[in-house]
Amino acid sequence: MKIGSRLKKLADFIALFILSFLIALVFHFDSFKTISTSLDSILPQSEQKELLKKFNEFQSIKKIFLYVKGLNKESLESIKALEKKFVSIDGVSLEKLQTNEALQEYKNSYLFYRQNIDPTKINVLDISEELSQLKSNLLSSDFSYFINPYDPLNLTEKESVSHNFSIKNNHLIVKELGYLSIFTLDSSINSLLQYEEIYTSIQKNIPNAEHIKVFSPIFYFVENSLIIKDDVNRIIILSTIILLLLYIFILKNIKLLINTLSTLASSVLLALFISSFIFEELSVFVLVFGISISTVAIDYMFHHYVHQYYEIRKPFNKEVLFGLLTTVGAFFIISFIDFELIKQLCYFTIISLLFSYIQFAFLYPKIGFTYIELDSSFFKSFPRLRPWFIMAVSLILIMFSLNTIEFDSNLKHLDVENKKLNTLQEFFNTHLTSQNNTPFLIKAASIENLILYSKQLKKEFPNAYTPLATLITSKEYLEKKEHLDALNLKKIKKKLQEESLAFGFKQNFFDHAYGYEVKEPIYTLDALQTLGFEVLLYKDQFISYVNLPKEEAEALKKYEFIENLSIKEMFEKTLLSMKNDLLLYGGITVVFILFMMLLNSRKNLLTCLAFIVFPFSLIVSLSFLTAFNILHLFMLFIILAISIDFGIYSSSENKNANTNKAIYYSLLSTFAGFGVLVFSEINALYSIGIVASTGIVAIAFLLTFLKGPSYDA
Amino acid sequence: MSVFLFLTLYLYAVSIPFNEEKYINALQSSVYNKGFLEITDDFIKISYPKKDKTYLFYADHIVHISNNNEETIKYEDNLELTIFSKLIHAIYNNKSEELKEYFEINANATTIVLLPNEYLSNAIKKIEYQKNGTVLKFLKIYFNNEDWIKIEETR
Repeated sequence: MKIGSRLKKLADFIALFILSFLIALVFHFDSFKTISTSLDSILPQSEQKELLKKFNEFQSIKKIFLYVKGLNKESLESIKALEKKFVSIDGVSLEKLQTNEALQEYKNSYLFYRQNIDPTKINVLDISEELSQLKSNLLSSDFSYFINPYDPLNLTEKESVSHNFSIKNNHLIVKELGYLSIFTLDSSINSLLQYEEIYTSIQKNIPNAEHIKVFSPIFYFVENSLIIKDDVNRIIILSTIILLLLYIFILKNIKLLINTLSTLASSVLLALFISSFIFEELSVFVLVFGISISTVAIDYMFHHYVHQYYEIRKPFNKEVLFGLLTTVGAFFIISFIDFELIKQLCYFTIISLLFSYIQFAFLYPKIGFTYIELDSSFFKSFPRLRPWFIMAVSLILIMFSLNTIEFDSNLKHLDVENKKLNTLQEFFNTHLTSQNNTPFLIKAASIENLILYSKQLKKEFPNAYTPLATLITSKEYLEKKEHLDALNLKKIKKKLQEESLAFGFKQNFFDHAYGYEVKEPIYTLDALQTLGFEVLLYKDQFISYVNLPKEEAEALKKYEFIENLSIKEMFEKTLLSMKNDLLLYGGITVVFILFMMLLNSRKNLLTCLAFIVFPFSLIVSLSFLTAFNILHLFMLFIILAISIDFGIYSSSENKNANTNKAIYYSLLSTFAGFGVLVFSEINALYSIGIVASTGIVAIAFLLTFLKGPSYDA
Repeated sequence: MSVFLFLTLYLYAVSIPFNEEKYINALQSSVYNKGFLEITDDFIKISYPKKDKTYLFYADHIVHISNNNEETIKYEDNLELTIFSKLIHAIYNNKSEELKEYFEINANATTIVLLPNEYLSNAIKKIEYQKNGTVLKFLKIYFNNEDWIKIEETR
């Protein structure tokens, strides 16, 4: 007897034991480390995603720009003081103004291969007149007159380079505006954690002044992550408080409350624990969604509790199992959509719901809870509408909505919009380059092709920054060599050497002139690194980057060697390619839901159907207000799967006053769980929240105003 | 009014005569010039009467007067003139620390040697100067193309 009562007491705490065990497990395996605030964690695993990671290794796209307004002494002192602070940060170094010697040597050696010789100059070339002019320049210049030893007669066409920056007081400046410093990050700095450290150190050193601006593309990673973290924390705290208050208010049973909270928490933790093994990175959105979806699981408890399954030994609750199977089934079908975030949400939810159900359906009757009457006086006498009326209104709404519905594949509508950084980026973009350039990745099977592609782009977009276009390809080398032979540069050189002596030029002074007898260049990754170019090997491809006009992104699509790695572009591409997937699996989900409905509620089909059609119509009516993104659509199918639970319960033959109570309260808690998401500033969460809230309002409306079997009875 | 002010400043300025030798490596010969240097609080003036050429270095710009033509030059557009004005300013005002941002300063018993850093090293190899009290004994700028310019005060 004593042992029996002790065991009974122990059983009271079993949900707590499970929770404690899972907490230990999650901490032991550090499952939280897989949670990522980075947007690429919700992108499907693809070559582009891997390329993006590789692309982020390029030092050139991770520079830090510092600008101090004004070209006066104070500005110079201010920027120098800041430079000192910046370079004291580990991994940050000031970019030198010095030219890369190896690159300079390369440029000199291959001068005539890289630059065209002006044919008109050659035709009218009068060497003695040129020498006379050179001598005059040498004698009359106030300082030293520099003669290009490789092309003393200036026969090559000069590269037209227009920069918005210049040098003043031995410091880089943005012409007419202010001082500028550019910092490079060490190549080993690639993780968000390292970016955060650098960001924090920089922000600590930057006075909050209008005339000082600092920007780096890495700031986006850090700031967006912080914005997401703050938002997610706010939403989690808010929903936890609301749910806690709601459960205290509804349940009035402390033992059940503690056990329920333990079950919900342990389900979320188990889902996190298992998901951390399935996915390399788990989006933080999944965690928030997981907490919201746990409010769906509480239905299972409510239905068992109000029908006194925890007090009196009763046969198995078939309707709750049906509800679970419908919801889990819908998530399972949707999980086939090849979109990482949706997969993560589905797997997480399935684990969490199943584990909650197991506890609520099998463990709780063993623990035993005394039923305390719940208050449901609020929802009593309302005028009732017939199902056909609801169906008609719904169909009209759907008809109108389907005309206006638009698919929004723009990631910016899922992400946070960092206006502060956008403005800064635009400032540096427009002041450093003459146009708003953005980096793109280029890839090729050989270095030779990579150079060729860079040149092709430079030709089409003369203002683009295409570093590799400086180099010459083997093909160019051979063609140019033939051309140079034909120009007879050797003859020009010989004449120059002979005639220069008469003008008093030093013997051998023109020895380096017009020499083009250099070997064909051979490029290796090491050689390119020495020349200061960033080329990486990815699988069997060579990758590098180019900065091209942002507005040309559409025109660039014709080039297969260009990868637009803006996450936005990648999302759009993925979303458009999976649109059919989404509709296919969404359709299968609807068929599955209808099948489950038929299986369970054949007699009250119209009532049950209203629970699908009416929420659907209200949700698609959102299209009057906004374009539909991927998460709107995802939640639309999820809400249908959830609402059918309510349909099944409401149309149940066994429905009684307690069923209504259970339905209302679980609906209220689902509303609290998902409803808080509308307060999120992250569009991804907001989208989930607005669809869920609309759906739940629709279900609540039906529960209150729809004529059901109980009414008819 | 401005002409009056201009003249007043000139009255107070000290005119320092100097000889300049410019060695041109390409021709293996030198060009000689005589000039005057005037340092005021507001500007530095360097004039070559024979060439009818004058440079006025103000805090934020340079004025070049040649054959009665006046031209304003920005410091950022002319590296040589920028360095030259910085050198003269630092040497005559004994503010060699102002040169630190451009050069590594090495001083031996008699001469100060300036080794250019970063950007300047693309054009200048080194600079040497020697001062005797307030008098500049010589200032020699070595360029990367083997040319050099030597200035000696002659007062």
